[in-house]
Amino acid sequence: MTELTRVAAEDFLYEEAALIDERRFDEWLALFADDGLYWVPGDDPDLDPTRQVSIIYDDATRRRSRVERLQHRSNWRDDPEGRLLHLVSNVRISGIGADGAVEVRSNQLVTHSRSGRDVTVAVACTHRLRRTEGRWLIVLKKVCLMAAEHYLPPGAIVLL
Amino acid sequence: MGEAPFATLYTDDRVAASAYLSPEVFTAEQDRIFQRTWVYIAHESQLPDPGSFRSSSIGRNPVLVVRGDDGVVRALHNRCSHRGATVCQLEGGRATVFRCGYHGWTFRNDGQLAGITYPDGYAEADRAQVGKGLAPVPRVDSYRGFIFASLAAHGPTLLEHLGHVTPYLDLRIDAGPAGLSAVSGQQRYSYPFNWKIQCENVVDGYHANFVHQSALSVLGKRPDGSVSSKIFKITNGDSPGRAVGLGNGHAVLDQRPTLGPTAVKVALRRPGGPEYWERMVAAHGEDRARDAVTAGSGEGLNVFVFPNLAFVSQQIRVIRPMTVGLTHVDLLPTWLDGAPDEFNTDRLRMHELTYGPAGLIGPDDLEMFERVGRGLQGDGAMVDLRRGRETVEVDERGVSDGQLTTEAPQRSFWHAWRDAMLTESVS
Repeated sequence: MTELTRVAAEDFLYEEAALIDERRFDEWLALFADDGLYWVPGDDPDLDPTRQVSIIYDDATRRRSRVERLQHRSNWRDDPEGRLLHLVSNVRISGIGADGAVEVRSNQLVTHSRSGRDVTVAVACTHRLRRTEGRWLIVLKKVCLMAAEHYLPPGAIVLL
Repeated sequence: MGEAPFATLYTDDRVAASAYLSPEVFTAEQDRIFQRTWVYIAHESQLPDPGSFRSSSIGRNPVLVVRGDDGVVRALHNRCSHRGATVCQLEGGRATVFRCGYHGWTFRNDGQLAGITYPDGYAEADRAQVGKGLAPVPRVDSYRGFIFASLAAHGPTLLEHLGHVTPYLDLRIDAGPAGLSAVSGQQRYSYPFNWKIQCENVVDGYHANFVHQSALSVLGKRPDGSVSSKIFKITNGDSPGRAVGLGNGHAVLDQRPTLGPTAVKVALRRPGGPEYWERMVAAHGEDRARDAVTAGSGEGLNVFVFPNLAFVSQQIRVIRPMTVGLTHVDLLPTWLDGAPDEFNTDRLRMHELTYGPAGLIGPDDLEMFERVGRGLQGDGAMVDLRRGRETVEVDERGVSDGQLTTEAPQRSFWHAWRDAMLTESVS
């Protein structure tokens, strides 16, 4: 079994952040396992997603739809195009599951700049990464907003 | 600002920009609309037990909606009767008392003063005066679980205010075999423009094909990758859907004529769908079940209840004016009581994909709100709401019924707005 060092985990998260910030969304989608989940909970990071609403709860199909809209020529929210910037910090390996999946935690600041306005949100991320055919794939990306109960302005959540 | 300026803000179905931009107008709206009319504040399902409470607001006033130990639901000003601090900082929960953090005054969950710290510091004559509880909102009433309050002690009853919108509320509520509740949490967003554009937009049948072109293209995609043109026919200028102004500022977009039997077919294909349909028929009979399933499906029936409540797709939407140029919005996905859990969970997933701060649909509306906000700056701009004036049919109740893309709903909103703004005081 290949071990994931903290440095390798950092590299993975830096690369993922770059794919989003450089709008290489198709490559970002390919980082996820087919059964991977991209989850931004709502008010309570421990909410039961079968009974409580989240902000994003994307399986592969919904992730693909989300990216297709971002790439669509009449995505008015992005016309003119905004710029995203991720700062990734406090990376640590927080656990290894029985299935060999590694849990990586990080703190991130995500800034969206558009229309003369910067909107920055602070998030605590949990990635569960599974080794598949020689590479690490995202089984779970859970993004907890520090400002979950705030009335966030437009542009706060594009891709976190 | 005197009477005349308000009278000219909405004339010949056009709105002056200052109605959206002027701080004086916003202040007057707080006095003449939010201090008087019935305002939606919470849902009974959020107050299941004695002591259950929710933080809410009526216009700019922070209020607590509380089920007291006696079981009665009250709306109380969230404002200490001593120095005015909010006594509760939480969104919701359960409490037997609220304690002000500033000087330690305590209040029971029915609003009565429980205790003043160091009471000997007040003269005997003053103690009776200062010993007030949390001020109750004069009138609280509910309609099938939806709690409204009015800061005016007198005026039309809640049923009189709701008027012709009640049959449509019934339809949305009957989308659950045992009604619906608001127990699935909420999403929130804000936008830097006036609250009234959100009211107009939830019943705007004209914008979807343009504002939501990207979302519709993605959602209307066939397995082979091509986009079905059918999805753009739902809200075009020939659609059989209706846009209806109901009086008192209420309105609906009714797409049941367009959806026909397809909404039930779609529901049957969702997880738990067949069981949901079976329970709906058992609860409401087949005709009513078909109507309510269609109304409660994604696009079946948008409802706006003046001045701050809407039903859009799967959600309850609450509009909170903060300043003339800042609006907060709550989205609460409805939970269909009596429907299979997997059917409700699937509705949560549809809601998250389409609405809220990260949805495929919602953020494009906010972009247009901001663009209108920028475009209206400067002198003399007007918003035009005359679409369909000749074709809309007005019945003897004053209900104006037009094709889906007419601006009958917006005119209904502004008529109620103007009537309220031109009424200086109510006795």
